[in-house]
Formats: sequence, structure tokens, C-alpha cells
Amino acid sequence: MLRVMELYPEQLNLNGDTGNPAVLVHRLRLAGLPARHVVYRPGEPAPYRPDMVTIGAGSKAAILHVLHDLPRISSLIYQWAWDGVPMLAVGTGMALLADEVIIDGDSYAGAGFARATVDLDAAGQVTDRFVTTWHSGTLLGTENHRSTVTLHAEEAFGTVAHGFGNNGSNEDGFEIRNVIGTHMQGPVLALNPTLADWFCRAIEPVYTPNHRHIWFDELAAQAREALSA
Amino acid sequence: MRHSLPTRTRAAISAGKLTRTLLRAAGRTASAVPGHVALRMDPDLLTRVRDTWAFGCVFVLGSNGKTTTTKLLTGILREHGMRVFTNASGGNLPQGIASSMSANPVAADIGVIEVDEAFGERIAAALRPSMAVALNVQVDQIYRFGEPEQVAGMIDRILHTVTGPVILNSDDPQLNRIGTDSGLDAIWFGADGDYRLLGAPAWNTATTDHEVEVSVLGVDGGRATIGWSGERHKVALPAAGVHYAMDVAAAITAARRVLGARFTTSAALAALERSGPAFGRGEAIHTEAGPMQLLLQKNLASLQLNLDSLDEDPERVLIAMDSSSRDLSWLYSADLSRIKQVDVVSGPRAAFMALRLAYAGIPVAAVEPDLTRAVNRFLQGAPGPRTAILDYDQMMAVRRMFGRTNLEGGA
Repeated sequence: MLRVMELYPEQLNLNGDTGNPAVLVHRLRLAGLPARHVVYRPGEPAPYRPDMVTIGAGSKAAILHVLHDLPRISSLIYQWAWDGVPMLAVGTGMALLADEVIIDGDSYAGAGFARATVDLDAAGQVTDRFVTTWHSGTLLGTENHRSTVTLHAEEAFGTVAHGFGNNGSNEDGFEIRNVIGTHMQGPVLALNPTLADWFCRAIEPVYTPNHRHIWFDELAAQAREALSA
Repeated sequence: MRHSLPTRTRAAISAGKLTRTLLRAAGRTASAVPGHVALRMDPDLLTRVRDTWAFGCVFVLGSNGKTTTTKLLTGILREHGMRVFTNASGGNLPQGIASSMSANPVAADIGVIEVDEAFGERIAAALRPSMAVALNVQVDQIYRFGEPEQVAGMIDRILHTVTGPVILNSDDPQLNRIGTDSGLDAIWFGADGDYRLLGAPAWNTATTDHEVEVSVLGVDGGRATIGWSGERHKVALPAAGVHYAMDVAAAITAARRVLGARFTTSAALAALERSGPAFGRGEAIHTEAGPMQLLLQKNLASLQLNLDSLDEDPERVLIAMDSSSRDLSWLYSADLSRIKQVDVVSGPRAAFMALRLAYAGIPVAAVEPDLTRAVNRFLQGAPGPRTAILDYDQMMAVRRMFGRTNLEGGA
């Protein structure tokens, strides 16, 4: 049984982020691979190693709240990421993987896997049609956050074609081994099956989409088209 | 009337009226233009009119239920013989309120104004509220106004402009915090039991117990038991659901404060009995295929509350998404388990909803972006009750298709 673990679902679901793990589990199952959506909540016993980790976006208050729990699992997260467990962090959720988080002028530590500073005191950024490119094509969704991300020694995940991204330059998120951070929402994996399938293959290399995925991919294409209209 | 209106203000209102008439004659219903014209002639129009209201001005604030509560409070006050000015059919920007002043009589004893939190401080500067009602803070994503905490901050700042009592929902964690030890003259209403804290972060619900003046004691379908002055009363709700009972409790609390000794329970109950269904909920349109119930879904909270308060799972369902919902990520936070299948998904953003339903394993028979064709398709097949879940614009369009043009409840 493949396990897709969503961190802090009550705090980090500001933009329907729980859709990302749901999409992965559904696509794995459509491909005949048994999969489950599991969660980790503050104060719970240290979780077993999952096959995938997703981290959604939260308000500043919510990120501050979970940063108090994070030290309980941050060494696990770091180890899993280092070992190649795929991870997706969206929007302010990237703070949990960064080595520095700024909240109301104070500095906090994330799990430290991404050498980056996530500043949550930034102005709001809303992009109704957020477009980036990554090594396997173009991604389309929405952008809606109050944060900047400064990369210290990491590669950006995407190149921004339309929108704000990390800090108004053309970079979006970060990509380190199988760990991807992005500002793209929609949720990103629902609107962009190519990225969802990239994660599915990272979770389980035998994953192959089949005719049962076609309807989903067709609807996602129509939704992306509607964003462009 | 405390003051009479200056000539300039009366001229401005006349100009607004004339503009409105001309626009109507030209077949247009642009609602803000008469207000613009009137405000150009008298920038102080709102303040001058407000100063003629002897009982001041009540603001109605909150993420969900503003229109319903404004209508309920207006109905209760009118039942007691008060003349009420309200912006029910206008917008809640200054020019929208000015347009309402051009469309409706401004001679009134009191104003009851639905206020959008993003513009509340500007409106407050002009209308100087003497009382406010705050229903809830249910923001489900960062959007227009920023994070939920920032929306709470906007409401907090508006409440601090109020010169008299502020009527607050004790069961809303954000409002509970705002009204505790704040220097506000807070009057509380609330629910006895499980008021569902939708939109409130599940991890941040610590609340202070307050003495509640009006309390929802129970809800049974379209009626609720609400207690005040040590007595329990059976009241009619605008629609089934505990959140509508909370709107009624808020309206009663405000009416009791406005009217003081003049408040009578019998008049309040009569007004509630007479008030029609809430806009976007409970309204049924008669079609050749049977009754079609209309449900409004303007955001996560309204979709969820309206779905959850249905008596039975809807059998035949149409859902339409318009393009004003620019970021539909929130659809994935909704619990759609009461929907077992959908006949047609429509509107320019149909694919988003269809995709969301597909990932939830809920069958969708057809995706038809064109609303007229979608409704026609929906009405084919065996007669029986149907449920249409619609965005605001789609709801207006469907009502027009069936010859309902009045703006019930307003914008």
C-alpha cells in the first residue's frame, strides 16, 4: 500500500491544498496501484516513513502554529527528503522545508532541507493565470500568497512566464532531488497531470497512466483553457 | 426628522433619480451610475442623508449571511412601524449606497446597511454607524482581502468606528476574540449546542464564554427555538439550517437594542413569519419537469452550509460555475459527499467542478458550459425534484429564464 502523507491538514489547507494528495492517490489507484491518503497532525506520534509527502499553504498565523510542532518531525522530514522520498510544498508551505522563515520580523527554522529564506511579511500576490515552465513543459494555475522565497544555493523549480513567483524575478519555488516547492495552485496537481504523473512515477516507477486517466486529463486541459480565456 | 436635507443634497438625489430613469428608458440597469452622478453633485450626500435618521445607522458585517440578516432586521423594524432605509438592492460601495438613495425614499428613522468588509472603513467615515452586527468571519482562502486574520482585522477596525453597541456572534472564534476586552460595547448572541464553525481554523477555536442575550436553542427544519428575556420562542427561519437561525438571532438582538421598550415579541415573530426565503436558498422554481430548488454557492462556506442543511441528499443535480470565481482551489476543501451524482455541470468554469467531482469519484453525466442548453438538458427525463447549485450570476440567469426578474434580497 502506497502512502501519501499530508502534513498538518487542518492548518495548511488555505487554498484547497488537500486536493494535491487526493489527486495523487486517485491517479495511483486508477493505474492499479493501491494507495492511501494519510495525515500527520500536531502532537501525533512520529509518523512512519511514507511514499510521498505533501505540504499545503497556510496563513501566517497557521505557519507560526505548525512551526512549533515541526521540530518533533523535522529530522525525519530531512532524512526522508535526503533519501529521495518525493515531496510537494505549495506556497507558504515551502516555509516548512526552508532553513529560515521570517514571521513578523522574527526568524524561525524550518526543516532546513532547502537552503532558502521564506519571508511571510511580504505583500499579497494574486495572479489569476500563473504560468511557469519546468523541465517537462508548461504548468498553469493560479497564484495567491503573501510570501517571498529567496534561494541561497538551490535551483528554482519553474521559470515564471506570467506571475510573481518567488520574488518577482522569473523564478518559482525550488527543486532538490525529488522535492519540489512551487507557488502554483489550482490545486497544481489537479490542473497539471504531467506534474502529478511525475510524482506518481517518483513514488512508484511502474506507474503508467492508462485509458482511465484520459477523462481526468481532458477535464484538466479544459480547466487550463478556461483559465487562459 | 432631526435635520432636513440641504438643497444641494436634494438636487443630487434628484439628479441620481433622473439618471436612473434615463438609463432605464435606454434599457440599461447599471446600478452604480446614478450614485456616481449624485455623489459628483454632493460628495457629502451619504453623511447628510444619514444625519436625518433619528435612530442612526446599523451596519451588518460578516462573510456570510449579511443579505439575509439585513433583510430580517429591516423586516422586524418595519413591523414595529419604523421607516427603514436599506441598501438591499444596491451595492455596498459608496456609489452603490448613493444609487440606493436615488432609487428608494431616503426619509427614514434608521438605516440598515449591508457592508462589505473591504470598504467598511470608507463607508463608516461617511455613514458613522451607531450600531453594528457582525455575523462571522468565514474566509476560506487568501483572496481579495488577504488572509483570514487580516479580514478579522478589517472587521475589528470597522467595529471600532461604531459609536454604540456592537452585536457579535459569541460562537465565532475571531469575533469572540475581537469583542473580548476590546473596549467595544459588545452584546453577544450565540447558539446552545453544536454551531458548526465553518471557515474557522480548526486549530484556533479557543473562545471566551460570554453572557448571551439571544440564544439559538434548537433547530428543526425551517423553524428554530430561540431564547431571549428568559423565554423560548418558536420562530420561522428563512431556510433550514443553524446558520440561518444565527442570522435570526443576530437580527433579533439588534432589533431589541434599536427599539428598547418598543420591541414586542409578537411583532418580531410576525415579521419573521412573513419574510420570504433567503436569497439563494430554499427558492423553488416550478418547471415542466417538477420543482427545481436553487442553492447559492458563492464560496466554500455558503456551498457547504447550504449542502449540509438539505433534508435529503439531492437526487438530480445541476452545478454551474461562473468566471467570477477566479481561483477555484477551494472546491477541493468542500465535503461533497451528499452529492451522489451530477446530471450537468455548466458555466464557463464547468471543467473545474467536473474535475473536482471526478477526483471525488462522483459521476458526472454531462459537461455543458452553455447554461441555457445545460438547463434544458437538465429538465429532460423523468419528472421529479431537482436541485440547481449556482453561482450568483448563474442564479440570476436561471431565474430570468423562468421569468423571475426581481432582485429578491439584492446584490
